[in-house]
Amino acid sequence: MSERSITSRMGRGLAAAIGDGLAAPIGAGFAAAIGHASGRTGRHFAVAAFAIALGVSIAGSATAQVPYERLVAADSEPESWLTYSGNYASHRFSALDQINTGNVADLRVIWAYQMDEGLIETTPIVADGIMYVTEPPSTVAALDARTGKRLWKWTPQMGSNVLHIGFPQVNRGVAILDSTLYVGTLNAHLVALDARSGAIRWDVEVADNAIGFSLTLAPLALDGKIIVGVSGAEAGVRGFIDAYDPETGDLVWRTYTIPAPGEFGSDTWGGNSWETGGGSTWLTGSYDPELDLLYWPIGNPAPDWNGDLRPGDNLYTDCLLALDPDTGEIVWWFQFTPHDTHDWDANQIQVLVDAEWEGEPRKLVVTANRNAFYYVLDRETGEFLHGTAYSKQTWAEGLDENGRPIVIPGTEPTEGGNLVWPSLQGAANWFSPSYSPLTGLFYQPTRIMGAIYYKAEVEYEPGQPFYGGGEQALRGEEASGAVKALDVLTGELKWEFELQSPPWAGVMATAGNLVFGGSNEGNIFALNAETGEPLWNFQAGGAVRSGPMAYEIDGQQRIVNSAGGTMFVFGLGSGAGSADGGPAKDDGPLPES
Amino acid sequence: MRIAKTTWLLLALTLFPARAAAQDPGDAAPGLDVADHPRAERLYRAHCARCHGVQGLGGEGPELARLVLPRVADQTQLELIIRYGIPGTGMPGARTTILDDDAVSLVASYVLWLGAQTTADVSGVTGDAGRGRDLYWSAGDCASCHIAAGRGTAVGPELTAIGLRRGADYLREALRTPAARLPIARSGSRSGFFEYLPVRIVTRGGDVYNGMRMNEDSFTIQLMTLSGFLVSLQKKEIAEMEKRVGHSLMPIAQDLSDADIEDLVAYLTTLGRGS
Repeated sequence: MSERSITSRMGRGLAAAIGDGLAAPIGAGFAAAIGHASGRTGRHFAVAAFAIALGVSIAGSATAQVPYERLVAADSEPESWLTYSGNYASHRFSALDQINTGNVADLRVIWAYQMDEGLIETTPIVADGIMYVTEPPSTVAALDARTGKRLWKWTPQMGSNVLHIGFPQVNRGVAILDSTLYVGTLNAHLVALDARSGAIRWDVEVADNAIGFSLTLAPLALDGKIIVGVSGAEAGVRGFIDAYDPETGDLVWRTYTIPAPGEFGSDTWGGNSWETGGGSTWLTGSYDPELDLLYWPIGNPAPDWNGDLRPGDNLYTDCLLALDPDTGEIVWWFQFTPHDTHDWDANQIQVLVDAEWEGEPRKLVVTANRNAFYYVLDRETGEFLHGTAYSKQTWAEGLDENGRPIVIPGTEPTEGGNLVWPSLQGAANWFSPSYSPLTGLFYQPTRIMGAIYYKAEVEYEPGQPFYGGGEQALRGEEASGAVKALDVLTGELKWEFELQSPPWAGVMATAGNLVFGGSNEGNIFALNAETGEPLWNFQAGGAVRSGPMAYEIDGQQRIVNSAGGTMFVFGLGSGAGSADGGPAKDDGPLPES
Repeated sequence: MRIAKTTWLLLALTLFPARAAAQDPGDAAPGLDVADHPRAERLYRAHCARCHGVQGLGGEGPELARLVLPRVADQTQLELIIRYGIPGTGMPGARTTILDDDAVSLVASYVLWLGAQTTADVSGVTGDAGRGRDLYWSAGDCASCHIAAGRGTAVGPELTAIGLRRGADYLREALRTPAARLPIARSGSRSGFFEYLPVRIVTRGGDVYNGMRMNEDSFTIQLMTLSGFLVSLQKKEIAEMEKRVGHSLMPIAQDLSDADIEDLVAYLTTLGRGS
C-alpha cells in the first residue's frame, strides 16, 4: 500500500476515527472497523462502532469516496479494484505480487459468498475494504472484503415479463464513482445506488425492454459521466451508447451504432434494414484519459444469420468505435467483420497498450476478436497496423492491408447447413483477456469450436427473436479450448494451456508472474505467466463464467473468482479471523437489508 | 494428448445429415397436428436452437434430441420448464409476451418429437429373444461387464433399457465391431464427450493404468480400470496418456455365430420394453 493512498484514506475520515480508537491497522473503510470492533470488544461495542461509522459517513457524504481522480490513477492503488477491467486501459492486471509462482500452490479459500440462483459473470469492485458485486439477474450486494459478510443487498423489481432474447439473465458488475454505484438491469434501467446503504439515488429507463433492450454490462464511470451500452441485437433493436449525468441521471448524449438515412454509413444498409439492424453495445469499453477517447466495441448486425435482408457492410456493427466522451461523436471506426452472417459481435475487451511500433512509441489498442483474428490498431487514428488469426478459423484467407477480411466464398450460413470455424460464440467472447506489462503478453481464453450454420427466413416482430437461422455447434471431443499467451504486438503464440472445452471464463495476470483463469469443468487455476506451466488448481465444483480479480486487505492479497453459484476469495495463510488477517469474526450484528 | 477428431466429425455429419430439414409430416409427434409441424419447428428454431442446437444436439444447453429428458416425465412438465425456466441455469422461462400457451405446447411437442426420432428401430430383428437371453446370461458372459435389471458388473454401459435407445442395426454393429461407435454423454458437464473412452496411462512413477475415462478436467482424470477400480490421477503425475478414440474395451464376439448374434440382438431389443 502506498503512502499516498494511506494518507488519502485517512484523510477521507470514513474509518479513521474508529480505526484510531481501536488501534486498527491502516486502510480499511468501515468494514475494518466493524471487524475489529466485533472481534475485540464484542457485540455491543460493534453496534456502537457501526453507528459511529454510519454517522461519520453520513456527515461526510459530501466527501467523494472514489472520485474520478482515483479511477484514472487506479494503477497506483493495486489493493483496490475500481473498474470492471481493473483500469481504464482494460488490462485486467494486478500489480500485487504477494501471491507468486513460489507460493501460489498454498493458495486456499479464505471466504466464499453464495449468490442468488443463476449464472455468475460479475467482476467485483473493491474500494476501501468494501466489495461490491452483482448477482443474477440484476442484484447488487456490498460485502465486507475481509470476511465476506454482507452489508446490504439491493434487488430491482422487474416484473415477470422481462425479456432477454439471445442471452441468459446475467450481470457483469457495477461502476463506482464518488459515493455512488451504478448498475444496469435486465429490464434496461440504469440505477444509481448509495454505496454505503444501497438506497436508490436515481433510476432511469435506458430503453424499452418490451422490444428487447437489456443492460447486462458493468457501466463505465468517467469524469462526470456514466457510460452504458445495451443488449438486444437478437431482438432486432437499433443499438446505441449512452452517457448519463452521475448526479441526476439525465441523458448527456446518445450515439446510435446504426446510422439513419443521410448519416455517414447509411449506404451500408439496404432498404429499411437499418431500423432493426442490431449493433448492440453490451460490453464495457475502455478509456484513454490523455487522448480523451472512449473505445467501445459494437455487436452483430440483425438478423444474425440471414444477411440477405441487410445488404452492405452494415456499419457500425462488429466495429470498434472511438468516441469523444463529451459529445458522443464518433472520432474513428474500424470494422472487423463487414456484413457479418455468423453473429461475431466485436464485444470483446479492448486493451490499450503503449509500446514501440517499428521504432516509434505508439498508442495502440489490441483485441482478440470473436472472428478468430487478433488486431493491433493505432488508437489515435484507428489505423490498422497488424492482424493475424489466433485460433482455428475457416472463413477468411486472411486480412488485407487495411485489415479487411478476405472472405472465403461459400462460408455463409445456408439452408442445409455450412460448417465453419469459429462457432457463433466465437474464438473469443465477452470474457476478459489480460495484458501483463511485465511479460508483454496478451492472455486470451480461446474457444476452438466449429458450428454448422443455418440460414432461414425471418420477419421482424417487436419483442421476438430476430435470428434468421441458427447453428449446431460441434462439441465434446470435437471442440476444445485454451488459454493462449500471445505476443501483444504480433499476436504470435508464445504458449498455450489446453482446456477440455471452449471456455466462458476470463483471465487475470499479476505481478506475481501468474495468470489466473477458470474452466467449464470447475477449475480455478493459476499458470506461470511466462511459460504457461500450471501451478495451482482448485476444483470449485461448478463452471467458471467470470473474470478473476485481485485486491488486498490487511496486507493480504486476495484472488477472486466465481464458479457455479458461489464466489470464492482465495489467499495465503489462515486469512480471516487469524492473527495476520486481523481478529475478524462473523458474529457482529451487521444490518440486514 | 489432443485426439484426432475427424472421425467423429464425419460421424456426426453422416448421422444427422437431414435432421435439420426433417419435415416428414408422417413423423409428427403424438399430440402435434401434422399441419402444425412447420410452425412448431419455426418456433423451436427461433426460441430454443440458439442454445440447444438446430438439430437438438446441444450446444450451450443440453441435448434435447433424446428419448428421455432427465427433468421431464411428461409433456406437461416440459411445458412448465419452457414457461418458467430452470433456476440456477441458463434456461430462461418463456415470457407470455414471447410464447403464448399454444406456442409453448407446440414447442414442447416438437422437442418430444425430436426425442422420438431417436427411438430405436427394432424392425430388423430376426433372432430368437429367448435363446438370446440364455446366451447373454451364460456363455456370452455379458454380465461380467454390463448391468441389466440390477444384475451384473458395471464396466460397460448399463443395458437395462438398451432396447429403447438402440435399434437392431446399432446393436448388431456393437456386437460385431464394438469400436465402431462409442456412446456420447448427453447431459451434464460432460455432454458431447465420449463415454467409455479407453485410456492408457503411465505415471511418472511407472504405474500403468488401463481403463475407461469417467471424467476429466485440465488437471485431473478419473478412470475405471479394467479390474474395476476407480482411480483419480493428477495430470502432473502422468508421464504418458493415450486416449484410444476408435477403440472399445468390449471384446469382439469371435466365438459367436451369426445366429447367436441375431439372438442376442433380439434379446437386447426387448430390454426396457417390458417384455
